[in-house]
Amino acid sequence: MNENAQPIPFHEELLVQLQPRLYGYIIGLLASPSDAKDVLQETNKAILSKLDEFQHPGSFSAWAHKFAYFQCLAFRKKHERNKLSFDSDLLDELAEEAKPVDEVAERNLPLLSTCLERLQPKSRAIVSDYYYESLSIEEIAADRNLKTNHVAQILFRARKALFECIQSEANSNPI
Amino acid sequence: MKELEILIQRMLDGKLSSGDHAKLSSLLKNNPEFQAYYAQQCQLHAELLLNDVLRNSLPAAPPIDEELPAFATDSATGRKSSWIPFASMVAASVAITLTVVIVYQSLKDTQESQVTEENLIVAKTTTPQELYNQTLFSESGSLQRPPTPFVNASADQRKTPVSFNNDIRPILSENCYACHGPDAEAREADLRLDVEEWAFRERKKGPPAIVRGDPDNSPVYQRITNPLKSEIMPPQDSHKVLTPSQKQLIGQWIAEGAKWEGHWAFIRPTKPTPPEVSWGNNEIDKFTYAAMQEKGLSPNEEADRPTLARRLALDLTGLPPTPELVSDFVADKSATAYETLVDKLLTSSTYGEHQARFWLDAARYADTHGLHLDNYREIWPYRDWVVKSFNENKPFDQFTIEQIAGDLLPQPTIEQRLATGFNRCNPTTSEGGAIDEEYRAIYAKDRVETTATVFMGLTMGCASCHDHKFDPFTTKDFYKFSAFFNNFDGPIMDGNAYDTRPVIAIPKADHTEEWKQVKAKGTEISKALSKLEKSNKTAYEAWQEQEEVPFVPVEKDLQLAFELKLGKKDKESPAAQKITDHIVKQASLGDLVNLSEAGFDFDPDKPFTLDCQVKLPGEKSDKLERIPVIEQFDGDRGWRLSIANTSAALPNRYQITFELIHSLKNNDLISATAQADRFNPREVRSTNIRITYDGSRSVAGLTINAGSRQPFDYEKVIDNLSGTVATDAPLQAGLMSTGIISKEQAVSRYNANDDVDASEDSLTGDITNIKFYNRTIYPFELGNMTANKLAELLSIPKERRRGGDASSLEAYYYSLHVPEYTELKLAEAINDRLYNHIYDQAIVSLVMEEKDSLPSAFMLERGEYDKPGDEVFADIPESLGGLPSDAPKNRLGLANWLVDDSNPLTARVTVNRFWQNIFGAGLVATSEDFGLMGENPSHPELLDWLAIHFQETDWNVKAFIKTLVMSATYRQTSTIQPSELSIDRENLYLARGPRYRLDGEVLRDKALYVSGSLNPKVGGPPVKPYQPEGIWNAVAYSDSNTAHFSQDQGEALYRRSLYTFWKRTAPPPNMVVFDVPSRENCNVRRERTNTPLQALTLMNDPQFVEAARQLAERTLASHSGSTSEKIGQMYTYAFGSGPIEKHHDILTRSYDKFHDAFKESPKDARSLIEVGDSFPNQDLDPVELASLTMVANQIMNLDSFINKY
Repeated sequence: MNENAQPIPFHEELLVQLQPRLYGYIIGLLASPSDAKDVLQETNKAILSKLDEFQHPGSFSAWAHKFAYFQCLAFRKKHERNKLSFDSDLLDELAEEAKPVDEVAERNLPLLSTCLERLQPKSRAIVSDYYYESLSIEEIAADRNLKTNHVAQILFRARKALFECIQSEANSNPI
Repeated sequence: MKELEILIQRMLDGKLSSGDHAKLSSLLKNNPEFQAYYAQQCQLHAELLLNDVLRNSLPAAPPIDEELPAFATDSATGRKSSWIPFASMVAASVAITLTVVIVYQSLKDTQESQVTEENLIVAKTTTPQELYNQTLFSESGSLQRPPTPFVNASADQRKTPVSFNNDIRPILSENCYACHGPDAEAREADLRLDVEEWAFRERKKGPPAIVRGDPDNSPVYQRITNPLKSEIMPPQDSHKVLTPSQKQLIGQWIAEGAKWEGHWAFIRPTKPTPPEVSWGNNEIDKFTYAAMQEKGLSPNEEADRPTLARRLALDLTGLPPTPELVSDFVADKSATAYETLVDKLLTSSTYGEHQARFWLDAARYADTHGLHLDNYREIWPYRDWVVKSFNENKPFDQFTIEQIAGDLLPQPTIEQRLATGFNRCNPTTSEGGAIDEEYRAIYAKDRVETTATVFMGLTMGCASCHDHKFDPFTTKDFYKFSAFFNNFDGPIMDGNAYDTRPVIAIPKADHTEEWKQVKAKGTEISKALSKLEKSNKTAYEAWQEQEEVPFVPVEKDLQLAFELKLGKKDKESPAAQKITDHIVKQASLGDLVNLSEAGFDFDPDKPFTLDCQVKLPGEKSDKLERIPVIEQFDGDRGWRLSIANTSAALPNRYQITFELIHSLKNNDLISATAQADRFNPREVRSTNIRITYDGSRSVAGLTINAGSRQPFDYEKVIDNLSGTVATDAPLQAGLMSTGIISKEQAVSRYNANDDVDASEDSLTGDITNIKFYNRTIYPFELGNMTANKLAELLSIPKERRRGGDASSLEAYYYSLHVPEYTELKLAEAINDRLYNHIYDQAIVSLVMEEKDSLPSAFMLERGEYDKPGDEVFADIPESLGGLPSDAPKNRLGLANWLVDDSNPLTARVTVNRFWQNIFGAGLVATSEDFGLMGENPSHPELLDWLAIHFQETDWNVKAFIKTLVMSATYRQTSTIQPSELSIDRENLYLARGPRYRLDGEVLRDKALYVSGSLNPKVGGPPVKPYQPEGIWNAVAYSDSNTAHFSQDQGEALYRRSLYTFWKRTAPPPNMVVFDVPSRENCNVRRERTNTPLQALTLMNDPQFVEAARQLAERTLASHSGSTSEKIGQMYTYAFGSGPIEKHHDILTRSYDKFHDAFKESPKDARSLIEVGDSFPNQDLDPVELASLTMVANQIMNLDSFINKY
């Protein structure tokens, strides 16, 4: 073994870092946060048990997403009768559509904190309320005297702006 | 768009209604733009929600627009966060997994494996994948996986030479043997890596697979380290990957000279010298202590005497010690106190029962056939033989030989033949449509698997369809082995009978002498008959070949007086009519038939025979009724025949009653009631019932037959007939009101409609022909040959006649033409009646018998019964050397070889199993598999020492078990030191005493034993203690004679669990929750799980609740002291010694609580103490008894009660 090899991140650690991205991917396919949480757990379990089989070089992220995809299919099949789900065509389209999004995330997520700072102050306050103070839409609406649908819209637009921001930041400052 | 925005937010909040869901679906469908938004939203949402880095950076950001003053700090306080728990949960779940990995790493190398802060910081500026891509990988590591420290640490540090058996073979068998192993069909590249010769021999293309000392020129090493995906071994599609350390090991092994070793279990053991160490009592301890030291463990001290007494009693007898046993042991100050106790326990008959229980799991013993109807099978004498053998300390080699080949020993004793029940315990079927050849193959496989597992620790069944993947057994070896069992002389279909041939019948004690005579007579007659047949063969054949064989009725002289044809018109009636000289009447079931013209009278001074075909109606309810069959009765005078089912649960227990009545009012009659134990009129379409009477006016002259069997013994008789029974009353069959059941009931039970065939319906009864004869007759005399039938039989070509057809034709010919034949047949019939009379009351047990031919089998292609290939003859696998040339090539040869010194397996496998029974796990953890895929022994030398010691002491089982329990290793306390737990979680190295949950049978037996209710009877027919209703019905066919569970009464409820009736498709449920095997296959190692069902059973099962009450009663009956003292006494009964003060206080407090509650509600107290069949002692105060019962129940649920420690 090479004595000078640096300590390197292990797959397990990569997996920890991948959690948000896998969750985002799964929730998109299942359209349910609670189901997404369950499937994320199953995905982690599956990945950890198959780590040995990961072939380097290769994208660990893409490999892990494949697990997430199959876990979603398995979940859907298992709950065919008792849960709502997208039909399989739509599911495939969404999975396909998630790819470019994930590629942007893969490359540019580190820019997210910078982009956050560029948000409109009002949007930022609501993003902060929602994500970091863990207030519900209704609570934010009550506190700030807004309609709930309006809060939802603000959040949607904030996320849209953030995504566009990391996309364009990346284009102007290639890393 | 706005709608999409709102819907996405609802979705992210988990608040999507089904309407919303549909809307969202339709918005997204075929709309790439929306789909992209949707994906972005999900991704960003997840990132904001879960990315801790962002979380940390945001609060530090510049202040926000002042127009929005309300900040979360106050408003959020006290609100339940819905997100944080989840976010942390996700992190935690991965973290837990990581922790395990990290702990593992830190064991190997603390320095290197710490997850550095740096990585996390780096991750802010570089994506993980980039970081990963940038990482340097060592050249010697795997290309598939970075050489993480926890994988490589051990490989680099290795200094000792690599051992083929310990290090290399496990890698090869797991990863390579599927394609380069024993299975010739699956073999790739003509390469075997399981045989030394193949691995090193020159190959057509290039060098040998392994070049000693030169890994770089060994194709094996080249291929496993090859960076090319197309070249790497194991190939990618095998989904097997060698770790770098495994590759490194193989490399090192080759470099060190590639020393080959055979698989340890296939090499004959040699007796090792125990290491010289300074601990312990006997050799066992020397080995275990040396291993402990190597692991940095030290043994626990010896357990205290009450604990030792308890452990010993449980291990040797399966029962707890009595308080006297414990106090004697504690008081015994002699140096041999412990040994005295061991010897005492080994001589108890409970020892054999306990040891037998393990063996019966292995032998897959059960009291039913197991497949299809799953009817009762009588083989419990084999079970008793096992118990007896352990108690008599039959040497294990003898024990083995008798079970495998007892019938082939010279002049085998009854016991030796009983022993062969081992190979008759397999599940069998008699399902309609099942194919003999298919089941012949299935039974043979089961017998091979069982024998191989139990005696050799091998998974030989794997080789039935293909060569064994890992162990050196070919399909040919399998079929040769199966040939040993293939020569079985008996039917493949079990006939749903309790006594599927061949059986051994053990007559009742007072029949013993008669039985011998009857059998001798039977042999004599059949010899004479076959001689007769031989001498008349030519004439008989000539007769058959005549152009036209004239039909001459044989029945003539039977003096058939009157025949009543009931139900459907007999097709042959016209033909039969012509030749009859008696009166025939046609009637329907239920008709009033006037017998005045029948020319037949029931005169008590004249002989007669009454013969009818009956199919009994099924039981529609559990209510037991007497079912009338036929009567001619005017209310006071006449005769009647009736049948009663004595128990709804036992459809094969019938009583048949026949009465000749002069005056019922004056009790002037003959009445005989026969208990027809083994007669099930419902099982067959119709049964012939025959009453014969010899005109003696005595019940002794009356016999009742059913089918060709019996006569039955009488259960009840009335013998008081003074006058005629003749009456003018009409005869009625089936559908009559008898005062016992109403006519309506009768109609609903019998087939009142002539057009319907009742034979297919198990509930509807039917009666067809009734015949009256003016003499007594024997079964064979009722020849039923008719002109049509004769013509039909003769029209079948000789070689295609079935057995039954051929013999009825033969009987017909001989009856007509050979006068001696009739004489002999008469003698035979009389003898058969005696034979059946004794047989039906005898105990039978299924045994093995051998055909005369040489044992052989056909190799079945892919194990399929309909693809027979070459014929092979019985032998043991080639890799184990084959049988010696002078050995018989049958089961006896196999049995002798199994216990021969040259067999490397049997002794090891056996001592390992005894070890497992005492210590909780075997030295080889996979006690069922000593092959390449089994686990290696934790103490290889100890195992060999024990195996040889066992052989050297003439396979003395008691002495061997004594050696185990005499060891200091066994006598340690079971306390676990936390420091040692991390080194040896599983107690592989035995630095502490065994501690585990007791088996279900032991728990039940213990409860009964400490309550004083255990019935100590050894052996006998199986019993049926409490079980919930409906379990059997749920799984059984309605025709099965084990479809209804009928609980036994009295003493039978309190027998040891070994004797509980074992229905294979529904084993006793309170044992099933404790992981008993189903007995459908051989099982040598029980799973041990702990589930809430077990606690529920121990707390609520009537058997355990009743036992708790009996423990309370036992205590109250003999101890008058304070409540606290009584509780102490109950505890002493349960454990052999009293409770410590703390426990005593807790139990006393429980008592007070229960007492208060029951005082409030005495009704509850009463219903508690009334659980079970036995009556609570009426002299005791119910409230006190109930409270003590609850405490007793609590004691029996203590961890220390349900665990061995």
